[in-house]
Amino acid sequence: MPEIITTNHHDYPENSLFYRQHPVSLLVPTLIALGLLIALVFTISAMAFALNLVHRDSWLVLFSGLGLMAIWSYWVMQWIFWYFDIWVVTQEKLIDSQLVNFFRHRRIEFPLRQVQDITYNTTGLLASLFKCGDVIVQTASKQGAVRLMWIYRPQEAVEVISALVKQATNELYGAHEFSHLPVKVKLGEVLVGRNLLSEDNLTAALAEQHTTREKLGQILIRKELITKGDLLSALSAQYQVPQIDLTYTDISQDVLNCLTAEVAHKYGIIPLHKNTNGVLEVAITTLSDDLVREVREACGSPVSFMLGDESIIQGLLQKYYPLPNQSARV
Amino acid sequence: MDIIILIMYLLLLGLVAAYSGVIAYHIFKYRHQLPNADAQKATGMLWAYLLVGGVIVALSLIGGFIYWWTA
Repeated sequence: MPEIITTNHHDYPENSLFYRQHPVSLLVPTLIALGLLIALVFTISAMAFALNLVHRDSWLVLFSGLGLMAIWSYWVMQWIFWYFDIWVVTQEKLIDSQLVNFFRHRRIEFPLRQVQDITYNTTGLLASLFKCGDVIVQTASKQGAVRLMWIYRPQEAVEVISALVKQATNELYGAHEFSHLPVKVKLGEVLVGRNLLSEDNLTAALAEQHTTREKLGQILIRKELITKGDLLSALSAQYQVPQIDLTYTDISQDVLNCLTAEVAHKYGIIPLHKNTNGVLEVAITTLSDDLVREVREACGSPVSFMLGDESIIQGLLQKYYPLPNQSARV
Repeated sequence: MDIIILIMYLLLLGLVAAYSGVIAYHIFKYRHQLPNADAQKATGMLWAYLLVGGVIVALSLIGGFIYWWTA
């Protein structure tokens, strides 16, 4: 007899890892439910003495049933909050699916290549006794850190997830480092090909570029023909490098030391992070052979590139690599 | 007096029934976020919840009626 699939579940890949809080995390709701049960017994007993009604026993039995049902419902709802709070790690991404409270479900997905750091900590007697801990996955995405709570044997989870992150990073950047492919398509062709820009507007913008020497993308954004998102997406396709959201970026001093202020300002680039392979990730707005060569020489380590928003990169440059005259003004 | 208590009882019964509805809603709406085996377990838990809850309420109703007619 064929198996009947009764749910329209997400098709997670077969080798996905599923994490859920250890069942001991249900201990507190269970103790609360037991406390409520004891309170119910005391209340019903007290009312049996205090009330003087004809049908007192009948009402007490009916209300006891209701109280029991309410406590049972409370515990089951807590079970649902626990059971529906899962973390899924596939070969490509990490998914955090959680029922935050009544009628509010949150699902976060981000690619493993955005993972910067994975740590764990075990605090408290219960966690130590049951070998549980919180796994903290620090990402370069808008979400910041994702915390996998009450994970059984967290050290093993960290090792497994780290291996998957390493694998995802290697697949993206080759063995270790970004290999700069020659750019075969033009930005305008990508935008027109995606129906984001008409041929006429492209011709007009190119004519303007010829006289002003401004970047084509800047002209198109200034004339409100495309958005910043369109430009980033098109550049990402043109250069074949991934995009990165730099809204919440924090850069350590070690990483900043990898690149001189001179090189950073010359190309408008900012180093972000050294991944587990020792590859320095650098945010860029444009890509050229000179840039790749000079950055590699300046860093002295393998480099990979990610495309970021130009205005944010300029802000980061001013923050982390202030020019001498800027520092003097501050 | 019995009428007032009956109204209170019915109101509370309505609240508990609404809560049960919320539980069923959550399981049916969000079970597709779980892997298939877990989604089926969650559905099984819903039936178990309704069964146990139904038995509790039914027994209390039966007990209540017995006490009512023997008072």
